[in-house]
Amino acid sequence: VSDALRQLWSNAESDPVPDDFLALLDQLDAARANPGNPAASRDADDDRDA
Amino acid sequence: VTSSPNPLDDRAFRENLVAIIPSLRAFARGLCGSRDLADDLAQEALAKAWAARDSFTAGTNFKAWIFRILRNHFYTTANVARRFVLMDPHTTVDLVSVAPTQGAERIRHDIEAGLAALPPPQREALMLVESGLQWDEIAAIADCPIGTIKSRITRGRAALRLYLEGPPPETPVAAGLSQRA
Repeated sequence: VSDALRQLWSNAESDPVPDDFLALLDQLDAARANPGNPAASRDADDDRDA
Repeated sequence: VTSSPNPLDDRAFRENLVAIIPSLRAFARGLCGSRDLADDLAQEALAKAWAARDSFTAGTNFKAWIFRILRNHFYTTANVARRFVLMDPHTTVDLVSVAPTQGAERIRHDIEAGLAALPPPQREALMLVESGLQWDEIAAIADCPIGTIKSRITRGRAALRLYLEGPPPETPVAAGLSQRA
């Protein structure tokens, strides 16, 4: 059981990270860099609500 | 949320976030089963961590900090909005839709289905212990004593073993008693 759980965790960790994760961070960065920019803020909010 | 005396700068914080994504997804998948919902959960935890970055103290365990954020968000959302439905082996489509017939894939399928059948606290403890965190960090994430975590892991592993191997065969004596009953 322990080996199977370890393998399960390892497989999940090695799954390729979808692009939308990094896109989310980019949008959060943009929102922080331009707090007055409604588009950047809205994008970040959309991602949080997704 | 308290202010950190020594917060990371944004670039270092972002590097930590990027590095933790695979582990965050693994923990989320263990908690809620469905891969799509797990990725939603992980992304929301990322956004929450970013919003709360000033509360992270440099030099402390970033993985434990963000795992706690994800875990709390999971339970809050599951209990309040029922969005991340607590895993049920009969409804976790991603995990049990196609049953492979042999090999490592079969073992993975069975262990995921077995996990889905466990109470969430046991599932959570079993996944956290595979994450490489220390006992005290796991206990802090799950908000309970270390002894409780160890007990959940012991019971969870026993339940998984029973799920994978089935109940022990009846002994002749027990079978005889059963027939007479």
